[in-house]
Formats: sequence, C-alpha cells, structure tokens
Amino acid sequence: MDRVSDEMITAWLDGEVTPQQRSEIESAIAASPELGVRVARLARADRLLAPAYAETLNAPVPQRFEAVIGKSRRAGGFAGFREALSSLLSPRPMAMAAASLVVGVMLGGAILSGSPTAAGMASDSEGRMIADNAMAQSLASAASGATAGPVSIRLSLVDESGRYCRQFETPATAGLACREGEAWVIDTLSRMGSRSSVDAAYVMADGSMDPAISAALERLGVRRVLDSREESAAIASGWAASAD
Amino acid sequence: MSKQNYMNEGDNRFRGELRALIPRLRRFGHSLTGSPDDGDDLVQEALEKALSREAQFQVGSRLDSWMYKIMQNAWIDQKRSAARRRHIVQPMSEDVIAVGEDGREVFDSRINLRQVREAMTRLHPDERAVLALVSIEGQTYREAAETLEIPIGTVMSRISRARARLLQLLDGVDPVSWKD
Repeated sequence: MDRVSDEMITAWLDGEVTPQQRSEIESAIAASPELGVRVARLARADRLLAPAYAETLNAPVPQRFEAVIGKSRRAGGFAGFREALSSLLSPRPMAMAAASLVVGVMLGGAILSGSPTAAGMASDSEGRMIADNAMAQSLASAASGATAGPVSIRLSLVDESGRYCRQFETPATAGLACREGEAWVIDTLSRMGSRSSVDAAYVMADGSMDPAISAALERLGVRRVLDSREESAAIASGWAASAD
Repeated sequence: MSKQNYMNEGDNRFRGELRALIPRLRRFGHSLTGSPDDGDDLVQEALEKALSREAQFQVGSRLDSWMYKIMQNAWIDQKRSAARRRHIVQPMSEDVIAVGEDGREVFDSRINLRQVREAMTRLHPDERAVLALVSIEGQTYREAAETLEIPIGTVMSRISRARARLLQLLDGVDPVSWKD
C-alpha cells in the first residue's frame, strides 16, 4: 500500500476494515513513522470528543421527559410507581407535605423503642435497624419486581449522599433500606395495617407510592433511579462502592 | 400483577426502554445541535414522535438507532425551517487555544471541553451528525449509514473528513474558520 488515505486510517481506527486491509495498514504503519504520526493525530479527535459530552450524558434527567413518557395513559403497577417516584426526582417539587404524611412510620432507631422489631430485622451495635441475614440476602440479590422469600423489591435508586437504596415490601410493611458498608440499614418502615389485603402491598390502588416512602425519598433526595441494567450490575458487584 | 397491568406490560416496556435511553439521547441532541437546551428540545420532540408511532417500531430492531434517526430527521427539518432562529456560536477565546511549545500532550491538556463542543458546531451538519453517531454514540458505520440513510461509503468519507476538520479547528491550523 503506497499511500494510506485518511479515510482508510479512520476506518481502521473504527474497526471498519476487512482483515486484509487491516494487515496492510498495520504493516504500512509499522514501516512508516510519518504514517504513525497521522494515525495518532486522527485518533486524537475521538479522544477529545468522547469526554466533551459526558456531562450531558451523566446529568440528572429533567422532569420534562417523564411528563412526555408518562402522559396519555394512567398506568398502574410498577410503572405507576415509577411515575410517582419520578415526581420526586430533581428538580424536586416545592412541597410534598411530607411531614404530615408520615403516619405510622418508624424512622431508624425509633423502631427499637418499646415495640418488638419487625420480622427480618435486627439492631446492630450502633442501634441502627438493619436487615437480618435472610432479608439482607433478598435485598442484595433480588431484581426489582421480583419477590424473594417474604420480600418484594420495588426499585433501586441512589440517594443524594450516594448510597444505594432499595424500596421493598413485605406482606405487612413497606420500607426503604440503604446500603452502608456490608449492611442494609432500614431507613423507613411503614406498617400497612390499614390495607385490606396483603395482595395490595405491591401497589396502592391508584399505583401511587406509600406516603411514608414518598416522604423518606423526599427527605433523602433521589439522585437517580437505577434502570434494570444498572441494577443488575449493582447486584453482580455486590452493591460495591458508591454509585456515582 | 393485575390483569390491567399485564395487558400494559408491552407498552410499559417500550416506555421503560425509552426512559433508559434518555441520557444518551440527550448527549446526541447536545452534540448534534451544539446546545444542551436545543438538544433537549429535540429529545422531547423525538419522544413524542416515538410514542405516537410506537406501532411503526419493529420489535427486534434497535430502539436507540430508531430514536437517533427520528432526532436526526427532526433536526434537519428544524434547520430547513426558515422560522428557526439561528444558533449563535460563541467565539472561541484565543488564550486557551495557544499551542503548547513542548508537545502535543501539553496542547491537549489546554484544549477544554467547551472548545471541542464549539469546534463541533463549526462542522458542516452532515459531518457533525456522523461524528456524533460514530465517535460519540459508538455506532458502527453500517448503523450510522442506516440512521442517516446514506451509503456506508459516504459515512466513511464523511467521518474521515469530519475528524480532520475538527482537528484543524482545534489546532488553529485554519485560523480563517474562527472568524467567520
């Protein structure tokens, strides 16, 4: 190959050449320092471009798109739940009247005072309520929408402090657990005593979120909700490190 | 799961997949239009179109390519529209384009991301689109050819020209281009 065109170099950089072209180009590069310089120069373009839009890629998704995707249907079930949650994503609504909604909720250590601990939970040496082995196993390994043992996982998210949190339900409770070190700390637990049937535990009748969970998410701040791929990756990595 | 939810499952999956694509669509919109706000407008328009044409989407084909295509077409339509305001490109400040004397790596470290984005807006729209799809979104030449509805050979020549042109702009090899 006497003269390798820029076009051929870029195709080679993009992995878009035939095996024969590839060996020809690679031989030509090896034989010509001048060509190597041209290759390096063209490769630079992508090295500069790749990070230039990373900020847009990683920015929180504005509310406006959820309004488009969520409209023109009244979804129930999991999608409705996500819609309800999306209203908590930044920019946050001005007021959730959160405090007034926290009825029957026990926060953190308060759960320990007096009342017996809920099934599946235990307190640690710092007085935090943490998931016990079986429940922790479910929180660590079940995908959203799946039921593992007595626990159903509703969704996974990253809170404002960078912790992974998972919203879960048991036949009697709705709760939010956040990963701290190797433990799942129960942030919020809401008893669902007023519900007519445990079947309803999955979703409230109109697809909305348990108000106690809404309030907890408002308090913690939701940085983002994991999609199923991100969630799978987090499960596979054992919820290692912080999400971002 | 209730019967109603079961019946909505396919629709919900489509919407869920769209939702998951939004960050990448926003990046594509930004790189294509040169402005995060214009890019988001494009994303919104494309989402609306996609939802109204869901039946046209062929299950098994790639939703991301389909969305890029809708965005690209919407963008071209916008550019054709005489009513569309012209995007104002900020002039690049000269202090940061000074070439480092002791080598390219020094120079690279002085090119900031804003300059790269601005150089993108100086490219011909056709070149910008192909760079956005291949270099930023990671599409293959074939995928980009399908998205842009052009022959694969045209993708190849355009991307080569676009890269060379981008580097010229960033290196200040062609100073006239900064003054137009």
